[in-house]
Amino acid sequence: MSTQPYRTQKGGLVDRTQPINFTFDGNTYQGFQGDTLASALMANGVRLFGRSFKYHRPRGILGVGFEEPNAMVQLRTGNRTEPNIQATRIELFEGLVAESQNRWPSLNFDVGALTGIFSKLLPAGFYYKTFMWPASMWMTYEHIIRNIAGMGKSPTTNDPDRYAHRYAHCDVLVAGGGPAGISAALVAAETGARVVIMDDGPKLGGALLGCNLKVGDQEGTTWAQAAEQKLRGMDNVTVLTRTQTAGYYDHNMIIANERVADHVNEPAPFIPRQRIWHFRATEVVLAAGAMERPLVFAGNDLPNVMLASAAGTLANRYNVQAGRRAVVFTNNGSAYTVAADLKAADIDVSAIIDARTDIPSTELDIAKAAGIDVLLGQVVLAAVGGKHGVKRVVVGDTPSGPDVTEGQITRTIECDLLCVSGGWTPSVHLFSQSRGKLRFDDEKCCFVPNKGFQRERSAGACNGSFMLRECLADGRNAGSNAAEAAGFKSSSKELAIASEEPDVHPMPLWALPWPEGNHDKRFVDLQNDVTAEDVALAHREGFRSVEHLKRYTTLGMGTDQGRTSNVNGLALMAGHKGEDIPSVGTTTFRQPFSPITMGAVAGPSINEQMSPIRRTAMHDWHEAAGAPFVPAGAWLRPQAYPKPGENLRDAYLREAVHVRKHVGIVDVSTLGKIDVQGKDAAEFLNRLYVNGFAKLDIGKCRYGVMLREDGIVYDDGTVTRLAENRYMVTTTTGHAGPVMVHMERHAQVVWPELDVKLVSVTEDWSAIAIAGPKSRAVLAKVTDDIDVSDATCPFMAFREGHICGVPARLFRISFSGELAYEINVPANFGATVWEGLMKAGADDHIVPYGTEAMGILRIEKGHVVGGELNGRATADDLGFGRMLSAKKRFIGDVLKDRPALLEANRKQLVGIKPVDGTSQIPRGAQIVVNPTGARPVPIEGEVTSRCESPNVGMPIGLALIKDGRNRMGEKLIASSPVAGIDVKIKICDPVFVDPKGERLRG
Amino acid sequence: MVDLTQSRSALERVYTPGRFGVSSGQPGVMISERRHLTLIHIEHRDDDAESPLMIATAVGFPLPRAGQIAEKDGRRVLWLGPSRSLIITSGSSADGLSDAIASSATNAAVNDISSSRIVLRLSGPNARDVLASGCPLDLHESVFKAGMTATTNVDHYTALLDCIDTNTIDVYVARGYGVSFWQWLIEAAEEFGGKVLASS
Repeated sequence: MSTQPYRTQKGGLVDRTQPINFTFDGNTYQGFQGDTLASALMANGVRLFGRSFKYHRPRGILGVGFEEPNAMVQLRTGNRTEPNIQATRIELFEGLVAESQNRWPSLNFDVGALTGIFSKLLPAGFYYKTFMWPASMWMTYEHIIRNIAGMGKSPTTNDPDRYAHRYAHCDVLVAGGGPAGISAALVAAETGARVVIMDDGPKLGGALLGCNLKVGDQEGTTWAQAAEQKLRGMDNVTVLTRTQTAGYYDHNMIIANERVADHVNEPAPFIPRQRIWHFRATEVVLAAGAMERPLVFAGNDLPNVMLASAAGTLANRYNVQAGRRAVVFTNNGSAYTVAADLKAADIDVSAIIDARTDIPSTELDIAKAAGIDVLLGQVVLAAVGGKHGVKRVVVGDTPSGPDVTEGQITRTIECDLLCVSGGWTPSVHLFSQSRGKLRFDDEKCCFVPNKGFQRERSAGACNGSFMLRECLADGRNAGSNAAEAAGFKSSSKELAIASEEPDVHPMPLWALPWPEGNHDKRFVDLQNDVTAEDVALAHREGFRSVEHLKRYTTLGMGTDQGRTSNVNGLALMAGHKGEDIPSVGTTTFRQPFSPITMGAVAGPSINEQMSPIRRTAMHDWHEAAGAPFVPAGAWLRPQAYPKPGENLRDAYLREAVHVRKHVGIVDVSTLGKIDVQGKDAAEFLNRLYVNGFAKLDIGKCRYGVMLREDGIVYDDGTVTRLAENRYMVTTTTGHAGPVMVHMERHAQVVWPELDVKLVSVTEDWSAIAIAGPKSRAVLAKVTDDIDVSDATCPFMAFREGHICGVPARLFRISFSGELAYEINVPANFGATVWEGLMKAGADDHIVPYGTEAMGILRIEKGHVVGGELNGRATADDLGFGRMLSAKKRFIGDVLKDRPALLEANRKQLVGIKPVDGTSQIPRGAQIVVNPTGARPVPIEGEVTSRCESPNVGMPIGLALIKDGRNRMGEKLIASSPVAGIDVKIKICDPVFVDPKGERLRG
Repeated sequence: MVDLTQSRSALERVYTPGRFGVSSGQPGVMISERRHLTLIHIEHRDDDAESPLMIATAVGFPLPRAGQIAEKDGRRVLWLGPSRSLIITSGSSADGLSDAIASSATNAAVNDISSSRIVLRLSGPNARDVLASGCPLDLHESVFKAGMTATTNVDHYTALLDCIDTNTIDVYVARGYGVSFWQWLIEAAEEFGGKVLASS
C-alpha cells in the first residue's frame, strides 16, 4: 500500500526494502528502516505533532534533531513509557507506539486551545501574578496549572529495563561525529592515541548525512560511512553512536548517555537499555555542530514552518518532501543550497525571500541554476494557516530598523511549507559547561568559543566554522593538536577537498514587524510559548538582566534550554535596552545537554545496590531462623527470633527473660574492632580515652570513654591489652568508621611522633556474646584450652585459645549485666562456632537473642548507647565523672571544664518508671512538670531509651533530667506531643537489675 | 592447624557455578572465588628502615614498590599504601608466616586478616569491562598491567584489585559486603555472558 504520499523515490539513507509499522495517536502508519518517528510521520503527511505548552497552539516539527522544540511525544506504553521525547531523535522500530502531548481529548480537538482565545490575559509571569495570593493556596493551584500545562506523564510502575554505567579513559575524546569530529578522530587515531568519538545519531556523519555535499570525489554520506568503518576497525578507537555527550565537568570529565537499546522495541535479555559513560580524557575535541536559528514573525509557529536545514535533511536523508510548494525565507546564504536540494526533490520552490538587498553572485547562481526566483530585500511578515500547516505567507519589505512596528505588505504567496533560516547558532553548550568563555561574532551573528578553560578545543560548526571545507580543516587541526598535546606525534595529513557552498553571513534580523491586520503571536521560544511581546514586557517590568528575563518569561527553560530561542531572545532584549548583544550576555549552560532518563542516572544503584548491605557471618542462620532484620548503619542485625505463634514482642520479651534465667547468644559482630600496635600504643590510648590504659595488665579488658575535643562524650567501648604493645579496641557499631578516622587522624597528623599502627579488623572477626547464668557451663563444653573458671577467667579477663575447635579470643565482658563472655573468631568460622554453641547449649536451654532483647537487657542495667551518647552529654552527665583521669592529658580534657559543662543544673542520666507501674513510656518524650501549663512549657529533660522490662515487671526507661541524680523519687510527666501521650513517671536509679554487679561477677 | 572444612564462604548461599547472563558464544567473563587464602596485613612506620628488611627476610623477598606486586614461591605481596602491605598466600607457604614476620620484624604491626575479604578472580575478554562498569580507574590493559595493584572503588564498594595478567584480575572486597557485591558483579557481567567456575 502506498501509505507514504510524501516519500520520494530515490537516494537517501532510508531502506525502502525494510518497511516498519508504527502507531502515532492510535493511527497506524508505515515508515522505513532509517527513519525517525518525525520523518516517517512527515512521509505519511502528518503535519500536526503536538500542542504547545501554554497556549495549546498546534505545532509541527521545526527541526530534525536536538534542536526540535515542539514535537515531543510520549514514547512507548505501560511500564516502559517515557515522556517528552523528541520525535526527531526517535529511530523508528517495528511496533513503535507514541502519543502526542499537551492535548485533551485529542490532538485535533484540544480543549486547552481555548487558552489561546484568552491569551491576552496570560502574559509572561501570569502565574506568579495571579496565583500569589493567598500564599497557602499555591499548593492547590500548582496541581491544576500542572495539568493544564501538560507535558508527558511518568510511568506509574517500575521500569522493567536495566541501565548500566561505564568508566573509561582516553587520550583524545571527540564529542560529535559530524565532518569536523570525524576528521579530528581520524587524525588523532593515526597517532596511536586512545580515541573516543561519540555522536547522537545512529551513524557518524552529522549534518553531512542531511545535505548533498561532496568530500573529495565521494558523496559526503559515503565518505562518512567509510570513515566510520575505518574508525571502528581500529583497536585504539571507540566509536559510540546513539550517544549524547551530555555533560562536561572539571578535570576533563565527560558524561555521555548511550542509548544502547532504545532503537528496538525491547532490549534483548540482559542488555541494558541505556548506559552512562564517565570519561576522563586527556584532551577533548568539541565538534558539537550548530543549530539553525528560526526567525521571529507572526504565526512563525505554524506546522510546516520549519528550519531550512530540517526541510533539506528530510529531502536528502529521509527522502521526504516536507511540502509540495515551498517558500524559503532567509537572512543568509546557507538556505540557498537547501532551496536547490528541495527543488531537486521535486518540491516546487516558489521563491527565496531574502532580507538582504545585496548578496554574493554565487548564491544567485545557485538559485538561477535551480530555477528559483529570489526576492531580495523582502521578508516574511506573517505565516497564515491552520492546525495542519501553513497555507500562505505574507511578504513585505525588509524593515528599515527595529523600531518599525508595521510592515508594508508587498505580496502573499501560497505554499504548504515555509523554510526559514535566521543564521546559525554554534552548539557551545559543552564548551560553556567546561567554563569556557564566549564571544559574540558580529560577522557571523552568533556566540562562538573564546577563551577555553580546560584542555579542549572546538572544531567545525560549534566553533563558528560552518562550511564543510572549514569543518574538515578545523577537525584535522584539532585532532592533530589534541593528539600532540596528549603526547603523541602527529604527521600532517592532506586535506580532503569539499564542495563549495555559500558562506553564512547573516544579516541581523531579530523580529519582523506585524503586517497590517495580523497581530498573531511572534514566537521566540516555541517550547515555552514565549513571544517577542513577552520579552518586551519583561523589559518594561524591569526584568532586564538575562537571568531575570529567563525566570520571568521562561525563555530558554524546559527540556529545550533555549536551543533555538536564546540568541533571538537576547538580541531582542539588547534592542530594548539599547545595548549590544555581548553586553546582555547569555545564561549559564548546564548539564545535561539534553534530558537523560533517571533510570540511566541511577544505573545499577537500585534496590539493594542503592545502599549495599553488610551481612555478618551468621546472617544466613538468622534468616533461616526467621529473624526479622533491623538496619544498623549498613549492617543488618536480627531483631528477635519469633517461634511459631509468637509475634515480635512475644519473642523479645521471652528472650530477655530467658537470658537472665538460663543462657542466650547474640551476634555482636557489627561492633567496630581496631587493632592498635606500637611502642606508644599505651600512650596513644591514654590520650584518646578519659581513663588510663598504660597500667592495664596484659590479658585484661577495660571499659573506656572518649570525648570529642569540645569535651562532649564521643564514643565508648572496651580496650583489651593483648600484649605489651598491642591492644584491641571496640567501638559502637555506628561509630566504627568515624572512630577509626578519628584515631588515624591523631596518629598521622596530630601526634606523628608516636609509634602506633592502626588496622580495622572489624570484618575479620565474628563476635558472639554469650550471656546468662549458664554461659560458663556452655563455654566449658566447647573449649579444651581455656579455663573459664572465675578464678582464672574473672570479670574483665581476656583469654586466647580454641572454641569449637576454632582459634578464638575470649573476653569476659558483659553488656547485659549477666555472667557473660564475648567470643571473637575469624569470620569464616563464625557460623560454625555459632552453631557449635547452639548445639553445646541445648541441654542448658540456650536461645539466640536479637537486638531488641539486647536493648532491654542493657536498659535494665543502665548501660548507655546512641540515645544517651547524643553529642550533648558530658562524661559526668552520664555518670562517668569518676572515670575522668586527673593524672594525664586526653582529648577533650580542657574544654570539658567549660563553665556551661560544669553547671549544677545539667541533665544527668537517671532511670524512670511509670508511677502506675503499667503505662508505656512514650518514645522520645520530653520530661516536664506540667505539660498543659503556660507555653513554652519548661523542659526538665528527655527520655533517651525506653522498653517494657519483663525482668523488672514494668515499663522502664533511661532519661537525661536536669540535676537528675539529686531528684530521686520525684514525680514528673513524660510527655509526647507527637504521640499525644502523657505518662506520670518517677525518677530512679538507672541500674534496675543487680545494682551491685553480683550477677556479672558470678 | 585450623580445620578448613569448618570455614564458610561469605558467598555460600549465592555461589552457583555455571553460565549466567547472555548465553550465546563464549562467556565474556569467568568468576571464581578464591577460598582458604591467608591474608597477612603488615604495617610499619614510614621512618622505620629496619622493618622492611626484616619483613623481606621472613617473606623471602623485598616488599613491592608503590602500586606494585612482588611474588615468589606462592607468596604474593601487594602494596596497599605507604608502609602497608598485604601478603596473599595459602597452604604450606602460609604456615607460620604471620608469626615468623611478627617475631622477626618486632616493630611492624602484623595482622592475620584472612577472614576479612572475599577474593574473586575475574578472567576472560570482558573482565576489565565488567570492573569498568563501576571502577573509575583506568583499567585499560596498557595502563593497569600484570603486576600492578590498586585500592579503589568498584561501584559502592571499596575494592583491592590485583592484576594477574591481561585478562585476569583478582578483586578483594570486605567480607560483610560480599553478597551485595556479588549481586552487583553478576548484574554487571550478565550483558557479556558469564560463567561462575568452581571455587578454588
